[in-house]
Amino acid sequence: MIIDLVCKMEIDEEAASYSLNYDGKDYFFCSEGCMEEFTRRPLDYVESV
Amino acid sequence: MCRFLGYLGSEILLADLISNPANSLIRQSYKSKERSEPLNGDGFGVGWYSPAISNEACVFTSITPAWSNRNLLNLAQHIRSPCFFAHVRSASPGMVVSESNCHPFRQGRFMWMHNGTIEGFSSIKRRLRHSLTDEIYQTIEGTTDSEHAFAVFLNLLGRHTEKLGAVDLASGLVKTIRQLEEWAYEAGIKKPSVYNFAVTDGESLVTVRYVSNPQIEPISLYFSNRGKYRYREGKFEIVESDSVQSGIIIASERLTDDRTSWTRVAPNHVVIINSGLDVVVQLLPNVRVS
Ligand SMILES: [Zn+2]
Repeated sequence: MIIDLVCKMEIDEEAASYSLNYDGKDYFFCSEGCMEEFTRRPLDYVESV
Repeated sequence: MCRFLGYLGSEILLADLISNPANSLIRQSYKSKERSEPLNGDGFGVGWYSPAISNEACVFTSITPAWSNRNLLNLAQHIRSPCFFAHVRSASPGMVVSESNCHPFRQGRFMWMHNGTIEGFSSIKRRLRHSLTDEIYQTIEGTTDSEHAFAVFLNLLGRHTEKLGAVDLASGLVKTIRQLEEWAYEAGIKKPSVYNFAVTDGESLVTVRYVSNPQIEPISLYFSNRGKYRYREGKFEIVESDSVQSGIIIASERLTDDRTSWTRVAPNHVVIINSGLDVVVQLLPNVRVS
């Protein structure tokens, strides 16, 4: 399991339909809304790890 | 568009939510940080519960701007409650500025607030009204999309609302959004809706941050850490506290400078706060009709 950094939900990375690569790292999301939100302000979420 | 906030927890002074903090709701009404157009001067409303007196909320609304209403500023220093809703309004073009159009709306045990736009409201209004029971139809006093959405919510909730909990309110919200989307689809509305809803019965509080098209940024919405909201050394802060002395704030904008005390609600997620102040955040199921 992996955490969707936008909504903080646990998601199954195998089943996740929404993912992107940012700064060389893969990120997974529960929904298109969370993925879009991440692309708007990635630093807000990456730095919170 | 408008700004709103809600509070659920141990008793708090209204002024500590709407006028004392650095980015209080009243400050947001004339100097909003997260809107392109910073004035929210088309009225305001506050609603609160006094559980010892009634399980229904008391609501005070006015069409004057919140920042210049001395009655509001004075009352706020003297009202304590375990549950508040507060709203400053910036009327959508064409919407009437009147007290009956000021949020929060109240019906029975419930209070309701909305900011944003239900796209194509005038085109779906007839269908919407037609779906309501006579009883609920007759409660509509104003002309806003917000109050009409509240009527849809109450209608979908059904008659027996005494034993409903936070999860039931959340499912009512989801059904409401789905129904609005269905009507919009039937009416051929292509433009996406962008809005946030909040509802409470004084014991639970549920809010949703919604946008029909996930590629568009929804209206800002936050919730605070569970904790005690206090004033110290000239600043408001949210500090950890036992469950007896704590609360949770939902707000269009953070009320304190400390970003770590606030969580931005993810787009198309529902925040469910129950009477024990447990917070659950859920992805909104697919509500779009296509
Ligand atoms: Zn997510």
